[in-house]
Amino acid sequence: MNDLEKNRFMREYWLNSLTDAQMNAFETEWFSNDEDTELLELVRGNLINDYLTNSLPPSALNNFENHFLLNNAQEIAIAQSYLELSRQAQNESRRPNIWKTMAEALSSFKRIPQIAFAVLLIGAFVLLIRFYNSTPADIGGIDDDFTSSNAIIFGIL
Amino acid sequence: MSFETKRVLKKDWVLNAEAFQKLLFSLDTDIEKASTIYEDIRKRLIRQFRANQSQIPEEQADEVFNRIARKIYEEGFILDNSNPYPYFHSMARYILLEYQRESRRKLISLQDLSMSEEPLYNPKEVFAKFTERLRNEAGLNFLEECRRNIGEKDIAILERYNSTDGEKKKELRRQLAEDLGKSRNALKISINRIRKKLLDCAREKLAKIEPAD
Repeated sequence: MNDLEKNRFMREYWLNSLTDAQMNAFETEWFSNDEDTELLELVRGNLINDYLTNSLPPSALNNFENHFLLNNAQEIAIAQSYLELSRQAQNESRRPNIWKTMAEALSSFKRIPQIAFAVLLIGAFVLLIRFYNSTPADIGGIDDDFTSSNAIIFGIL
Repeated sequence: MSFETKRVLKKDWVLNAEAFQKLLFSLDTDIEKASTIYEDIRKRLIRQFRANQSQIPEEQADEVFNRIARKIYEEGFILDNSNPYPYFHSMARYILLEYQRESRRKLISLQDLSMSEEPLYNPKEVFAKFTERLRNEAGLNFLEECRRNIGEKDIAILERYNSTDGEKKKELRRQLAEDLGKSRNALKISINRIRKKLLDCAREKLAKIEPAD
C-alpha cells in the first residue's frame, strides 16, 4: 500500500466507511507501530481542518457529520474556535497599525539625518569662513570694548 | 434484570487473579508467550485510544482487558488466539463510543436531556451547542491563553500547515518542511504534537468551567 492509498483508507477509517473486515485488518496493522498511529492522528486532524474550512467532498461530508461530528463534537468545536482566533489574529496583523506605519515611514527616510547633518556642517563651515573674512565693524550692535577684544582673539587665532 | 443494571454490573466487575489467568491462557497456553502477547496488545490498545484523543488511554486499555476477561471467566467466551487483535480493537472501539456518549451527557446541559435513555442527537445541534458554550463561557479567553502558551513559532507552523488547500497542498507542505529544515515525517509529527498540545490545554481549561455532574 503506498502513502496515498494509506492516507485514503485512514480517512475512510475515521469516516466509518470501511467494511468490518477492512477495519479489523487495518486496526491490527496500524496500531502495531507508532509511525502509523501518528499518521492516523494526523489524518484525523486534517479531516477536522478540511471540515472546518469547507473542503470536504459531499460524500465525505455526509459521513463526517453523521458519524465523526457527533462523537467528537467537543474536539471539533475547540478546533473551530482556534481557527476563528487564528483568523482574527491574521486580520489584526493585516490591519494598518499607525505606529508601525510611522516607524516604517521613518525607517524609509533613514538617510535624512545624515544628509541634514552634512548640510548643517557645510552651512557652519561657510558661516565660519564668512565670519573670518568680515571685519569687526561688519558685526553691528557690538560695543567697542567687545569688538577690540574680539579683534585681539581673532588676531591670536 | 434491566439493561441499565446489567451495564452497571459489567462496569463494576473487578478483575480477579483467576480471571486474569484465564485471560492469559486464552492468549497462549505458554504463560511467557501469553504475557508477551498481553503486553503487545496493551501497547496497541493504548495507541488506539491515543489516536482517538483519549485522555486516559492506559485506563481504557485496562478496561478492554477487564471486559474481555469477564466474558471469558463468566460467559465462557472463547477467544480466537490465532489472531486475537481484532477482537480487542473492536472492544476498544465500543468503549470509546461509550466514553464519547458519556462525555456528551456531561457536556450538554442536563435540562436538555433525559438521563434514562440515550436521546436521539442531531450532530449539528450537538456541535452548535459545544461551539456556543465555548463562546459564552470565557472559553475563548482560555483558548487564547492556550495559543499564547504554545508559542508564536508553533502556532505559525500550524497555521501555515492548515492554510494550504486544494491541489497545491502537497507542494506547499513540502515547502514548509524544507523551510523548517525537517523531513516530511518530522513535520507531520510536529503538527500532531502542536495540535495535541492545543487540544489538551483547551480541555484542561474547559474542564474547570464545566459544571460537575
